[in-house]
Amino acid sequence: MNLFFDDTTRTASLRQGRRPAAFSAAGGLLLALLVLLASPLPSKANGELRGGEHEFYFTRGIYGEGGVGAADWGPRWAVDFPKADEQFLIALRRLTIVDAFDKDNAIGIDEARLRDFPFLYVLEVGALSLTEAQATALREYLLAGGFMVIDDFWGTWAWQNLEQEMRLVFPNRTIVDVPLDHPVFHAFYDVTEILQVPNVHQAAGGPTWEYDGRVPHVRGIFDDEGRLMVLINWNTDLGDAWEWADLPSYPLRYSTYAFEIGINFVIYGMSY
Amino acid sequence: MLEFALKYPPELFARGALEMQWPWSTYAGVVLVIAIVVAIALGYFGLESSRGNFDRAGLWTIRTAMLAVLLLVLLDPRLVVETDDPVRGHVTVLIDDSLSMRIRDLDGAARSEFVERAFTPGAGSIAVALERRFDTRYLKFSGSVETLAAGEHLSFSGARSDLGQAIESVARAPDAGSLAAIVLVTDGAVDDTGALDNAVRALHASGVTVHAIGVGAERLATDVEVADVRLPRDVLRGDAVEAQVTISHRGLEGQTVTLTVEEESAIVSQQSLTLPANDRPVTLRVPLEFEQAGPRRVVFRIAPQLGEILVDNNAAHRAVDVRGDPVRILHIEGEPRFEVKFLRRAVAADETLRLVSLVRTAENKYYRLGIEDADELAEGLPASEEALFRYDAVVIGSIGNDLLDDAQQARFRDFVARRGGGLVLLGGRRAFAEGGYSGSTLAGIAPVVLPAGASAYQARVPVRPSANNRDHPLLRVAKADAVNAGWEQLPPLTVVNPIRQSKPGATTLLEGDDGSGEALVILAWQRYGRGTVAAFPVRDSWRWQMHADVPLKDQTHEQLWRNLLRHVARPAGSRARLYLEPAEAALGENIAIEAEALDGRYLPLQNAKVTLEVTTPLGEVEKVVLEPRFNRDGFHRSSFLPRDIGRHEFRLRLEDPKGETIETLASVEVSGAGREFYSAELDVPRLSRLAQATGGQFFLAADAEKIVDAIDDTTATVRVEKRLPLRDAPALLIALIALAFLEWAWRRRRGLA
Repeated sequence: MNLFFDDTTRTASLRQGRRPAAFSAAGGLLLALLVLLASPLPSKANGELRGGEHEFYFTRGIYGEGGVGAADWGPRWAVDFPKADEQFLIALRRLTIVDAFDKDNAIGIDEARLRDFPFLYVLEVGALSLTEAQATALREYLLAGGFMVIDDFWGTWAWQNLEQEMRLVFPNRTIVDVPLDHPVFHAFYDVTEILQVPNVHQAAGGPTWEYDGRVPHVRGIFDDEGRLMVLINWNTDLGDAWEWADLPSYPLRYSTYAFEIGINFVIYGMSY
Repeated sequence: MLEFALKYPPELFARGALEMQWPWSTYAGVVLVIAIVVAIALGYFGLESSRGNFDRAGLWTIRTAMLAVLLLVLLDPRLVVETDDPVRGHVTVLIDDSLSMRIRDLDGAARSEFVERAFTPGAGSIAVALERRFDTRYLKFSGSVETLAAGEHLSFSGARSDLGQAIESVARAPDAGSLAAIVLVTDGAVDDTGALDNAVRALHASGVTVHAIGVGAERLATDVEVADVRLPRDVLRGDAVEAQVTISHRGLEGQTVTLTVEEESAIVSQQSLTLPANDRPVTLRVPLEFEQAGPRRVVFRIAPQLGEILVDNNAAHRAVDVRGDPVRILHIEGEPRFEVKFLRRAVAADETLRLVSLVRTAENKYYRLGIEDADELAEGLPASEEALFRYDAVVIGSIGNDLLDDAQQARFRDFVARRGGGLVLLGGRRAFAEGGYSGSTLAGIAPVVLPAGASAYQARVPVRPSANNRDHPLLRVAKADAVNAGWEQLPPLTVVNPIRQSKPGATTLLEGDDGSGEALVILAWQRYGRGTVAAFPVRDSWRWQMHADVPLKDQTHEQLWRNLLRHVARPAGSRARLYLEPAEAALGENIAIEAEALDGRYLPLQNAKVTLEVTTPLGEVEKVVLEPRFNRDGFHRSSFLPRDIGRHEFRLRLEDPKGETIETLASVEVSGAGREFYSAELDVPRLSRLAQATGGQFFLAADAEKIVDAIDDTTATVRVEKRLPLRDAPALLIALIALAFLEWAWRRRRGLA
């Protein structure tokens, strides 16, 4: 699936890598500053959206930070934001007839207006650190019928952090594997295998995993009626595949998989 | 002069008919005809030919006329006419033999005691007096009319008082021709008021006088009665319904009584009420919920009050048939929406509602949820009536009229009108006028008026129950112990289909206020044909589930949808339908049965095997023969006479030509007393009107002896058919003489003599 035009300038600028270990600390700080300046600010311009104009909003959860590497790349909730969101929406609007708002929609997970948006995307949860209020808000959001998709976190350390944080949300619920015959894998496309989607840098070649996250997993938390409330994509980076789908060097099969499974998440989240 | 010639008054000839008799055999008739022909021929040819044909023709005509007159005499003509001949009439005493006559409201004595004392044939005080003056005959009536022989005692055990039918029977009896007057002895508490009016009109026309003797107290000093109960007869398991109970009372002003409701002998509700002044009836609304499937007996009861002499009217029984099979609901959306998700969640826990969702996710791509098997909706929208009619209700959401063409819409219309299915039209950007449905078939059956065209309207609107329908059962969304937000606390909903007018006859339940001064219709419904159509033009009812202001345990969204879907799906019956009348019968009262057989398109099914069995309270199974109704395709009818008190279960089985078997179950509660003890006070106005309409008089029991003198001399007339002989009418002789003279005169004149 090749939906987008080439963007060689952007490709070149991103080949400097994610972890500039070779530079000096000052240079690293400068680079980080440049990256921050180059990245669009977490947009609150759409933060006053009330919903209702469209059926679907791709809503990204803004959360408090803690954990390892929290300060490296700016707010972790904003990784790939907003391009990943917007490019995913392009695909969603192109391939389905979902009436989707075509811009980003980032909302704090403890904000009351989050309840206007029953689909929530959260990533980099290795840095997730919930306050009690946030945990309560998230719990009520999910029990009321909200659907949360977690993405882009790698390794045992990140998993342990997620487990710990989700225990605040649901002390008595376990996280289990989602089998491939579950409706979420067949809501729009038939997904028959779980691919490990690498970040944009590692997609060029070499290992596709980060840290010790060699095996991708799709796991979930179910409610008392057997409905999926939280869908966890561990050891994979769907967001990067969405964000860099227009990059010629980014392997098509990863983008294709990421869009397909992402669309499935949306259709499932709007149906169950 | 004319009457002399004709022998009878001319007006008798105007209203009578002429009849000929032939007293001899056919052989004789043939001989006579031949003789006449020969005579005519001889008469013609025998005439002198010298005078020409004119004389011959004229004389021949005269002779033929004479022969005709003679023949007429031979044929013994008679005038057949009906006349009213006076006869000596008789008096019929028609005595009420029903259970209500056992009420002890005549100073402690029963009504029946008075009747026996006064009207026992040959022994009663008034009976003897009547028999001395008139030819007196006795009949007793309750649900039927029977002769009361001399010395026979009444049983006062009839469970009905069909006075109208009784009077009609008397009017049609073989001796009705000599009926001069009816003496009616009753309390006036009748069950067939319609038939009574017709019977009275017929009596008045025939000149029969009715005198009425009213037995009983006009007003009970102390009484409370469960006078009426309105309760749906057919519900779904889990339905929350409302019974409207009317309580009438006497002499208990200010007293608090408790209405207890029992379902199969278990108390399910109790409500206290204080009885108002002036004996005003009170209507209570009693919410009920039926959790068990099958026939259910519901009793509404008030305990006997101090001083009541009549307590049989303190309870009312009702039969309710609770359908246990789940109803199938199809939800169609033209695009993915959160309404799909939250509607499914809302009804998931309701075992009576089985929801199938068909969601268009892309061009020519549908997502099916809740299907029974892989074949269900495999081709998308139901493309035939059989496929669509499998469902009991349909929710049509945001799917434009480019996807629901005229044929599809007509199918939905027939689904509602003919199938009896339920339809909910849900709001969305491709619904109502915004979906291109203005002026369409769906617009025609919707309970709301669609604007002429689409608009760009979009608003968040607070929603409230309409003023007149706050207590409508469909809006009952909170149980007593529920933690619900209340209508005023619910978040506003998004409206993209502005509708401000319901159609006449539609019920508006929810309204929205967008500040324009004209309310928006948010939820309305109406009956259409056999089914129900509701309009719910909101985009996101799910906000009543998700919004932060709504407590997590709030069930408003869930309960509203369950109520709505149940409400529209409830009337949808199966292909085998059973209609029983009445639902609560008295012992000995015929239950009228109508059965309807329908095919897969819910059209009348011919050549179906339809059988009916009745299980009595004793467990016996009786087969009832159903006869097809030739003037109504697909219908069969019969009747059943219950002989036991209690629940009778009627099981209808339909086997269609394709081999499919469908069963329907309905029940009737049979009581020993029927309605005998309800509204059982002496109905003076009715009996007075009855007597006056026929020229008679009304008397209370205390003055009953005056009836003997009140009855005029019983001269009646009898209409008889008479055959008046005409062969000796002078006119015939005059005609013969005249013709003979005419011939003589002709001959003289023409020189033929």
